[in-house]
Amino acid sequence: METETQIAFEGTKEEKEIAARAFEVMKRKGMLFGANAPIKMSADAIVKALTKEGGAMSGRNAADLTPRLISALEKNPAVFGREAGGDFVTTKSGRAPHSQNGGQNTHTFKQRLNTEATTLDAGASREYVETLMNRAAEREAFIDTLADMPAPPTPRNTPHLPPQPHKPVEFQTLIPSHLIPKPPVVEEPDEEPREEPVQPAPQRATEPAAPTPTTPSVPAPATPAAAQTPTASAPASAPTGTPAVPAPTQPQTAAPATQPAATTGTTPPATEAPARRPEETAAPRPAATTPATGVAPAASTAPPTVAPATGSAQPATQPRPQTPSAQPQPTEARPAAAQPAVDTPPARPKPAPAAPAAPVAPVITGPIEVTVQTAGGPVTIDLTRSLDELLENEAVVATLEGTIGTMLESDTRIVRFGSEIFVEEATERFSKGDFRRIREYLEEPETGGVASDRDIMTDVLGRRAEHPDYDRARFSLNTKLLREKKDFEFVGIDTDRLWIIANSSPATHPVRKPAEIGQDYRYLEDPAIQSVEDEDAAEVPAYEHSLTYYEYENGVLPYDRRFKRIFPGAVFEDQRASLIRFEIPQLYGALIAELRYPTGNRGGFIMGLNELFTGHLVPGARFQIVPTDRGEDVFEVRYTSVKEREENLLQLDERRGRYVFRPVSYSVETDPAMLLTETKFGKLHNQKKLEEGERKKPDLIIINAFEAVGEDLDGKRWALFDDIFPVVNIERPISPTWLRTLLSGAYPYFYADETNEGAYFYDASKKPS
Amino acid sequence: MAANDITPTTRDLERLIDWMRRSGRPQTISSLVRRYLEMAREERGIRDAAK
Repeated sequence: METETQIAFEGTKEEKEIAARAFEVMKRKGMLFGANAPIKMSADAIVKALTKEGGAMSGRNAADLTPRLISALEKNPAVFGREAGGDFVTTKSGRAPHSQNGGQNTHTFKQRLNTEATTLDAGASREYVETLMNRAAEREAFIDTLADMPAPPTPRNTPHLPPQPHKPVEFQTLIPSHLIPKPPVVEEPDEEPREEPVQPAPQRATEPAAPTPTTPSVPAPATPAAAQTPTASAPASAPTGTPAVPAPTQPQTAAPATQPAATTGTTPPATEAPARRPEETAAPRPAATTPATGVAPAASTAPPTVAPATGSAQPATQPRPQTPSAQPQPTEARPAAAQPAVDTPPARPKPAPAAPAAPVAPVITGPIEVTVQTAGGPVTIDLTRSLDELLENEAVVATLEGTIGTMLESDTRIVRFGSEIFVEEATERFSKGDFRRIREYLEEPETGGVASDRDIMTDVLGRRAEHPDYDRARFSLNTKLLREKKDFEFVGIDTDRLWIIANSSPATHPVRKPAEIGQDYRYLEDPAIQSVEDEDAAEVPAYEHSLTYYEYENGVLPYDRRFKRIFPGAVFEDQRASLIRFEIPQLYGALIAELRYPTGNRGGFIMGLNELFTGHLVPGARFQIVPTDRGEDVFEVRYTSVKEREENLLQLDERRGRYVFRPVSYSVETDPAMLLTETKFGKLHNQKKLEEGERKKPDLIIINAFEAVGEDLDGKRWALFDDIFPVVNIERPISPTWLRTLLSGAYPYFYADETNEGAYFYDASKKPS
Repeated sequence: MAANDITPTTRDLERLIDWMRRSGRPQTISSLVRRYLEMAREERGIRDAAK
């Protein structure tokens, strides 16, 4: 049947005709699509559809038609769009699609009406259609069987149906099971005696577990011969494929012994069997090799076992051969197992149970326990509990997170950014122009050289946070910027994704080079010192700090264990830095600092605090670093203001390269032990700054400190730890823990004073020359 | 693997990836675990009444 379109096509008369034909072909393909849903076809596919036998242009040469078709469609861009791959796209409404959401199917009928519907791919769809068609054919064959039953006394030569394999695709819920059309229920003849509930339940030989209630009630094939009971009356050449309808009029003893009960006329309908729960109907059937001879003792028939109600996931059981010695199990559910077969009525034989399992939703009456193999052994959980309750089991969640995470790690289709995971093919792509505009945005003075992904989304890409596609676009932006390593650098944390132009930094650089600072702090990554520092850090409740001269001079702080406890850390292993915002309530201001992460032989540190330290603090000043609720990378620096005072404090005369004491006014609370006053550390006056080679040797720095603050006792220098510590931290950072380690056995010429706790000796005579 | 063992398989992973693709937004590992348990429940015919 030809349909006529009302669309006015452009081009010559022939082109118009070709375009109209092509449109009809594409419309036919998308006949079930929405009016504006894109229908995509390649030119070859359209030509093939047109020129096939019975097609609108059958008989025409496909090779000749293809270029004409392309030309015709390209002259109608309003109707036919063209994708990068060359495919033509149109819609049922006859307008080339202009999708704004990248082909996403959110807000479609499918989404609104059936949120659980799953997209069918071509293969699965074909398989599903074939399954339905096969089942329809099987049902028709079965109805034919019913109609023909009374007539022939001999077995019908019905086609042998192979055992239906277990189809896992059914479990994948390509279409939710409750939406799959249910097979019609075949009515049972009324003449069937209903007062005979003692007949064995209908059995189907070796039929696998039906994954859905739509399993047709076709007589199942016979069990393999090996599983059948050999009897004297059984013919040696008994066919393994038993006819669907056996000879009902023959004496039962003459019936082939290998016929399964499901195929014999003695089998009562399912409606006569004791009511079974839906789980049982979906469960695999036991061995169906019950002889139909009727003379076999009941004890020799293996009673049918009812599979436990574990849902459709229960694997199919193999048929069990009969064991003559098997004791009958007089369970209430299957009394027929103990009933002698001679009692079976010689009624008109019936094929397999006609009534299929009632396709009702399974009723969950008890716990469904499953196990998860955790690190501590298998853990059993009850799936009938609520999801929230299940997620409270930390061991199970951790195991599943680990397993799924590991599987995703090795999957190249997956891309991650921080804690977020997505499918690479579904991410958005950005043009070179987009990246150029982002770069220009970061170069603007207003941004200060740093911008968050949200800023870029709003200010550069014009995306609104309320847009449903916002999260996907933001994730795409971050993953794409991360790949542009020559142009952009990630300096944020997972909860605040900040970007700068590569190798730039909005933070103030220290006096020394950052690389040198990192080397000075490398002790922080020393495992031997870390183990001791862990214990010390655990004793400190918050990040309280007394500023050392080295920190004051360079505007840095160590990225030590204490700070690691309050900062989330790097998102990526190769991340160089993160920016941190320090707010100073006393100053009504804030500054951006840069946390340089540890690498190789360099320790981590925070730089960019020069302005705060030199402008408002002094070496020895006490302050706190407090996390805020404004972000994991926003901290407050709190210190106590005191009445302004003036003291001679140590300073470096850069012109002479010597330390001098100069009067300094300050109004911040200080640690008296750390304040480098002239009265306490007067010997440091005019002391020369150590050379680079000297300051790299910790023992030389400590000796220098002993010379400056120690007392002479029998040719040895004696000093308190609290006096040594601020002095050694003039030249390079040395933590209290590391200093104690150096003073307690690392060098033979430093040792503790046994009589005075916290005091140490330096014995120059023990120092090798 | 025991019959009632719900350790994720490659088939489960495919279903999670498909779910993630259809969700149209990035997911966290926690949400994937939640969805996985949800699938395990649905496979056994368990559904939340609130859904």
